[in-house]
Amino acid sequence: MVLLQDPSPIWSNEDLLWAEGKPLQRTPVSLKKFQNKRINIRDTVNTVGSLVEYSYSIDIYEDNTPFEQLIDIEDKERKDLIEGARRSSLPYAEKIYHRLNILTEASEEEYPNTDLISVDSLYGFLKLFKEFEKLNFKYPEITLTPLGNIRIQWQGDKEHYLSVEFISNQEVKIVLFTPDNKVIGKISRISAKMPIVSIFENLQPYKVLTWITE
Amino acid sequence: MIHDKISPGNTISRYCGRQTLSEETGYPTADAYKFSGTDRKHTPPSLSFNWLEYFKGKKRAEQIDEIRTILNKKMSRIGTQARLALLAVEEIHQGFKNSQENPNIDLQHLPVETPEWNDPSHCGLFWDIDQDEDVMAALLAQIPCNLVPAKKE
Repeated sequence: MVLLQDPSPIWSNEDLLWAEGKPLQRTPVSLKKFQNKRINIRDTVNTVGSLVEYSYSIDIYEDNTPFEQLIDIEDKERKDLIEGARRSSLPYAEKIYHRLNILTEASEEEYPNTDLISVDSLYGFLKLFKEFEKLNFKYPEITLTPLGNIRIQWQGDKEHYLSVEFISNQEVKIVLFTPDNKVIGKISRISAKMPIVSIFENLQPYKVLTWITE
Repeated sequence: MIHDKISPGNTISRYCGRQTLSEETGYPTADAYKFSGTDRKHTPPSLSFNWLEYFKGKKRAEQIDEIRTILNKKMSRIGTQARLALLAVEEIHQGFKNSQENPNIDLQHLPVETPEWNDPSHCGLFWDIDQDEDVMAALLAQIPCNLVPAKKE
């Protein structure tokens, strides 16, 4: 649902697609059309169910370059997603909210101009928690990679380790350490890229849910 | 000398931003040992560390202070809660030996000089190119280390 408080003929179908908050297929948009406008949007992101409801109010000025304007929009989107996580019914919602804020602060402190949390990675992370909320995960370690991607990790013991890096809003890179199924005493170390929705189906032979869930 | 191997018995440090430290234990996670933009600039890419014993004749606390001074010049900002992970080179070799992997790790002294700053104690950790970077980072995170604040007080 999109409510434009200042409807204007500048909006094309393409713009509305972007404004509908379809982050999985975001359509590039020319910001020149919005110069000197205040845009107010209340939006629900369907890709993560009703998890994220947020509103924009963005001023776009002629003296900002399109690149600066895009950064402003991303920044707002990031903050709203993090705030949305707090209001959601996700497991550990409050803890996740605080952790994401700490990661943002730490990143801003050390890299004031770059390397903030990737918005796409943030979408992917929230999508995983929403998609699999019934699995009752143990609370994972949540960290940031040098590229600004979110990574979650569960360490059972030295032989059991799973990390999931959200490399986009649809895909993850996993690293798994697990005792080999056939060779006693051997640890299998696996790394692979896969869609977020398929993680636990793909990892089923390794029985990770026996040690990453409560 | 450049490209000298750093032998067991020495200690190296790695800068770990707060965003890479465990929320539960405070110790580095695999993200602390992922290649950063700077690590990738080396040819071939290697993981950057500082070699404490390069500062011969100094006490451990003084060696750490030397490294803090270098990082202060080298990095745009040092996080107030960032840490230096101190790893014994012997523990690294032992850790990989126990891991059943054979990544042929190699730790070399690679001093860096730029017009703005010098890092004479810089060293790089190399491994076989076919090893997965994320698996290596996760293995490094399992190696015991000591932590000290990265920022000079």
